[in-house]
Amino acid sequence: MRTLLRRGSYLALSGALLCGAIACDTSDLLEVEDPDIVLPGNLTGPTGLATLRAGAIGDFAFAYAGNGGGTEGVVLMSGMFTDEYFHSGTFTTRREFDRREVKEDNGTATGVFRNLQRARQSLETAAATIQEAGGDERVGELLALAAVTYNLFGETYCSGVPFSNLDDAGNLVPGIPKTTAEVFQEAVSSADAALAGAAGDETIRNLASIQKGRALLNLGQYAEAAAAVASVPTDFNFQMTYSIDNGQENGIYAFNATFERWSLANLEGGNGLAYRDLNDPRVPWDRDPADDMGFDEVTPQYNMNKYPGRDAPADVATGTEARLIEAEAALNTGDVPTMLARINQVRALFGLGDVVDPGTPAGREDLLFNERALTLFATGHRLGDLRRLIRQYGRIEDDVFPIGTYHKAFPDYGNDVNFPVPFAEENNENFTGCLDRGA
Amino acid sequence: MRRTPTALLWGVTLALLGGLTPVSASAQVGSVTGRIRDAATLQPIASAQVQIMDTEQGGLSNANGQFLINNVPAGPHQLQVVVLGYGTQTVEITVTAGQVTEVNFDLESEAISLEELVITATGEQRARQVTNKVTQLSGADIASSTPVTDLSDLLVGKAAGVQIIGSSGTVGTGSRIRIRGSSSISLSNEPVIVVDGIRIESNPQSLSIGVGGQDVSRLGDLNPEEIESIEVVRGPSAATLYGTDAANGVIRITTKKGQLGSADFSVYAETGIIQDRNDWYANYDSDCWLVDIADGSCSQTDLSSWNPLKESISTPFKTGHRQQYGVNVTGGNERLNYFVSGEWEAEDGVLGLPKFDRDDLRTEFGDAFSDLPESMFNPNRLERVSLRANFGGQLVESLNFNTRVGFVTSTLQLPNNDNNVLGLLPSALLGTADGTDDGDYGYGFFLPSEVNWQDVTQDVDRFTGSAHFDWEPLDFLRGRATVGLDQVTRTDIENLPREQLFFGATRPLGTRTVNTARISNFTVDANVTANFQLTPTITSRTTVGTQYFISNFTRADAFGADVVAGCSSLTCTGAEFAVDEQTTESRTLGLFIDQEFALNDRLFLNAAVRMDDNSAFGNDFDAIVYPKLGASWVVSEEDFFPELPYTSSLRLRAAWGASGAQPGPTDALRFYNSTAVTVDGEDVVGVTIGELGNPDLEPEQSSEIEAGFDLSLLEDRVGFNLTYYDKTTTDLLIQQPLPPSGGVGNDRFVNLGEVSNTGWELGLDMRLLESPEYIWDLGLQFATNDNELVDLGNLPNGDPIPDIKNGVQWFVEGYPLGGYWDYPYTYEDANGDGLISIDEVIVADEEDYLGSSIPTRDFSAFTSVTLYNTVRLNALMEYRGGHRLNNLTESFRCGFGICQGLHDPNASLDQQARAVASTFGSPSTDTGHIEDASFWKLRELGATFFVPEAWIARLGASRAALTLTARNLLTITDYTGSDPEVNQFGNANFNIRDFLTQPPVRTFVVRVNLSF
Repeated sequence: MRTLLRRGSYLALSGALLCGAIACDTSDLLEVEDPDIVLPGNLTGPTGLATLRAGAIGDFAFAYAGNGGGTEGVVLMSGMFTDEYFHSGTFTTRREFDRREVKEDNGTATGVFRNLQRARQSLETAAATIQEAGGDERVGELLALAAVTYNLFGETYCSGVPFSNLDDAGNLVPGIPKTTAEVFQEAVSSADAALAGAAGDETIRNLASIQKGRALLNLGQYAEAAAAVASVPTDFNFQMTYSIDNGQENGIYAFNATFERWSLANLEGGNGLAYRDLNDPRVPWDRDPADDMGFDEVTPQYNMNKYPGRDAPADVATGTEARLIEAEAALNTGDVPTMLARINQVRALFGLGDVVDPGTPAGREDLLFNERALTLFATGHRLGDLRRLIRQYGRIEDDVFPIGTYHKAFPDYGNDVNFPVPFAEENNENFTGCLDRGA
Repeated sequence: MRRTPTALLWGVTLALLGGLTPVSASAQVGSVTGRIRDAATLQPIASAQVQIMDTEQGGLSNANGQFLINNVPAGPHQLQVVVLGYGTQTVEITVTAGQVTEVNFDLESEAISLEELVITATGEQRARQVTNKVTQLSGADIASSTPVTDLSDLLVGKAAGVQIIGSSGTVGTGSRIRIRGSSSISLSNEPVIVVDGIRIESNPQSLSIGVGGQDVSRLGDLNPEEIESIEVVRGPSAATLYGTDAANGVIRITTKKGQLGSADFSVYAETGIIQDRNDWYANYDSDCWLVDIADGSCSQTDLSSWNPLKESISTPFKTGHRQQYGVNVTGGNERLNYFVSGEWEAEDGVLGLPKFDRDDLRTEFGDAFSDLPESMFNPNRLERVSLRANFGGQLVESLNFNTRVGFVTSTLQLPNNDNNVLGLLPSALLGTADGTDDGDYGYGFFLPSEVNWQDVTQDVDRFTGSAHFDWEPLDFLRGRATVGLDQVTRTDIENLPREQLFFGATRPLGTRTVNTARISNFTVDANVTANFQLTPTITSRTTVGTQYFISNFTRADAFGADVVAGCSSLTCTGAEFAVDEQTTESRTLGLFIDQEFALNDRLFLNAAVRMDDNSAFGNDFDAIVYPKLGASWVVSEEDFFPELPYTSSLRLRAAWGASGAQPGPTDALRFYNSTAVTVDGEDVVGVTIGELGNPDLEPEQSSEIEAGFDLSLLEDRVGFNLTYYDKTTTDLLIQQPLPPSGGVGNDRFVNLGEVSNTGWELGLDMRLLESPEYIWDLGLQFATNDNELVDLGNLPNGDPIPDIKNGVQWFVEGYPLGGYWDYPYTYEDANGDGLISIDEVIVADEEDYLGSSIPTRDFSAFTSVTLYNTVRLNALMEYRGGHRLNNLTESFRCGFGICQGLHDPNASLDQQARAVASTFGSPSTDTGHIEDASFWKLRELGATFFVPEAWIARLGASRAALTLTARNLLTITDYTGSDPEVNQFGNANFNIRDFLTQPPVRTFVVRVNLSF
């Protein structure tokens, strides 16, 4: 027994030495640093707030136009879904958009939705943080851009989009699905908050005013919409800017002209507008070389030159949109001369001659919506307009969306009139699917 | 920034090397010498452990089976010989002062040896003591019987339950290793690799420049020629003491150490050829597709096909070559032994330049043709130098040491393939049926002479060094300490000259990418064992230990475009500069205590517990404790055990234990990433949300119970082992998809859910025939794995978390992780016209489970026949089954309108139906292309000729062997793609699909070994 005790004491001593050597202060042994990340506490003070604002605007620019060939923005996808672009690439997930039959687990769709929500979240978070620090005109700017995201959600997605947020502790609070009308109401609220926070900055006020008018138009409140945009000058243009140097390129250009995966459409699916045939200066295009084929080697490649380069700025909100909102308000009150005047005011900006009254209500609607399609090309408006033709003007889907035989050897066009909320949203306990897939 | 203590390690190493003063010899000593042979073949046995039992003097036999132990105290001793695969022998000897005592051993092979030594976390133990199934492989034996190129060659088909899953035939790319299935959805399922007692970098995806999908595994840096033995520690029940991260098992590698005796030189040379012998799809075209014929809208008058990969004018395949030359020297005595080796090897892959392209380039470049970059003609090449210096011996009485230092420098050139429009195979497989010059001989996106301008290389310098001390201050107390560093400096470079590849806006300008990474793993491991004789029949073995591990990764990336013609340096770039930097570090501190009781040296009971803390655990989580229990019972030695005919020994074993897998270094943190943005036309820096974080994060915990037996029959000529395991992983670290409406990242690590892996492992080793003329050995391994996602967890409101969908690979409760799902379809040639129309394919409304993406059954057979002790023939056959593979290559080709099923009336109805379902189905479905991927492969066929000593005596050599080996000779499978083992995603965790990948290639190698 004595031997055992002696040996046990040796072992205990050895063990104690081993343990003691490391047990004195293990926190030092386990301390690591990661210099690559920015903790929330670092984003305070003037520099931190400026960085936060820049990041939020960068998130919006990315969600809106995508980047230099890797990720698509909402403008590209809604353009592909409608009659603006043909799919001249090979990705099956993008083809689903072109065919208007988008699966809920479509990876591209998930990315586009997530990036747009990220932009909204970043803009609202940055606005709130700057407001807490005293507030300035940047609050209005950020909230006005947030209003753009709400308008894009309302125009692009099915009814039932939730908007989740973070609480003070940084926990995610799942959002409640909102109807399409409720989403546009969010846009109005955000635009109103932007106007209140614009602090006299005319650019921000114009941006916010257009978003308010756009949302009200979507809600069918034409007169209110016209009133909202009345003060916006026709030559106003709020753009996202892009750069080759830092890699934040204009994806609308890159996917079309650089990588040739998007091709300017013409009369797509029968109902599409003749963007090429019209040779309208608002939608400049070329095909170079003359037999150029898209990335899929099957689809003729046409490049849209409205954004003529990788670092070309992309239109977000313009005074022309304000005039066209007023034109639509006039249309809805039967004031045809005002409608024509506003349209011609826009056309004049592009050196185009006046249009005349088509003479019928349907003709006037066609005229207005065609003018909107050409003027607001590649700005993410077209899908909302096609849906409004159904929702507010009584058209039927088969009369406004591309239909029939798909332009490549695949099944016919599907029946979607909006994007689904991605399957991944079912991780939100409040969400069980779109409330309504109709227009 | 912390610095890993490189200087400290070097200091220790140099101090040791400088301090190798022999312990003063006593005058009353003698020497013991002898040789060890296989009793049946009379071939010498190298690396047998020879030991004077009471003094613990000893070492390893050399390549000729000889040993010499000096300074043995005069008097009687017990001399023991232990070697893997043979019965242990112990003899009584008497050493006379100043004399040499000669003892020779002829060892009988044993299928199961209960006395062989197994290196465990608590030091060496005899096999009978170990409560788990541990597979031991002799690297020396395998390398001597067949040329091996990497660690995978040593492991494949050798250990039941261990899957070596390759992904391509691209030279330099690695394999995934799965031991007893996959336990984790989001974390690595790779085992921990321990070399000479220290953890090393083993990332199977160690490449920062995308080449389409293939990866480089850092395991590929290990030189098989330097490996003495490999121990496969399978699951958490065995790996508990290795702590956090060992849930997927541990592969413990020991490099060669010095052998007893005078300097023994060995040289070897190897050369071989590598060929692509795969079936490739041809590209089809016609003036009327089958579906149009079927619906009567046209009739076919023109059908054409062209296979750019097979036609002599357009095939990019060439015969690759392999060379390897090495030399090593080993020797020493019980005071100082050494093993020093050097090796150079080079291997060219099978990709090159088609004849038409070569001719065109010759015309275009004229005299400058020969100055074109190597990547143009040989885009896949590996060149590597490995150096090793291992020293061991006795510093002072009862204090032994080993220092092991390895250095590897390599350059790997990688081709572009897989999911890559700028890849060579994609351009051929998604090309056209136009085999004319005007039609670019069937190539689609780009010609090989265009894509081969992309020069992607990886340069690696790797140092792995460790110092191990073994101290026995008292006869019952033994301490061990190991300190070591594994450091990899990796430089990934892509060079693209200007105006050679016209894709996108940047590439035509020429680009240069240089990404330099430093990966360091630092290990300190120390433990103390005390042995107690509690009663005459009961002994106790107690070990306490600690381990400290730092893993550090830093990387700096630089990119520039607009390259000055003729220059290939970042200095010569003028636009689109981009830089990036990454730093991650993880630290683990563990303590353990292990207690074993032995009854009559037959029944062993083991209990242990390990406690770990880690820098990546959440702030709200503290340390974790992993327990372990086990028993081993050599029941056949009990008095009550009946004398069973033919039975030599029977050991029963059972163990239960737990281990874990740690989260990533920043997974617990909420943070932003910086991003370069343009605001109001100016480039500025911004931030965007990086991760939401989770302060409650804790490690995944896997617990496992395994039970089995080892049965030795027919005088140890037949060994049979059977093991059942049941592994459950809880608190899964899942990258739970966040609702996208939050806009705060794709996912967030949470501890949720449960995964189970169960299965059987069976091993049968037999000496079927043994005579002076013939020896025939056969080894069979069989394993099953039933993998199931038991629970995916719940949302905060209690609703189940939705399935995780990753394309056609889903994570669904009740099904294997990453199994294949898609819309099933049926078809019927209703009108009997031999054609499938669109209407004759009916696609279901909902997706259904199609099968596992990972093999669920493995069988391998390794056999060797030795004739007249002069010739040895060996073969390795392997079967894998119970799984599927997504043949996206063919599905995508149908999407491109070039697959046979859309054009050729001779295509089977199955081919037509799956082409219709994927191309025209509504919804489209790849179900027909998610194919049964079961296969049989003749992995290896070899012959070794042992040159008679008389023939080589004139050369001064003591041994010589000539080996011929062929690999990948035969594949039997119903899979219709190029090969059922390819994976576009390289060594990714779960993403598995066949997509435009270079399949495994066939190799023929001849090798000469000479010992002096």
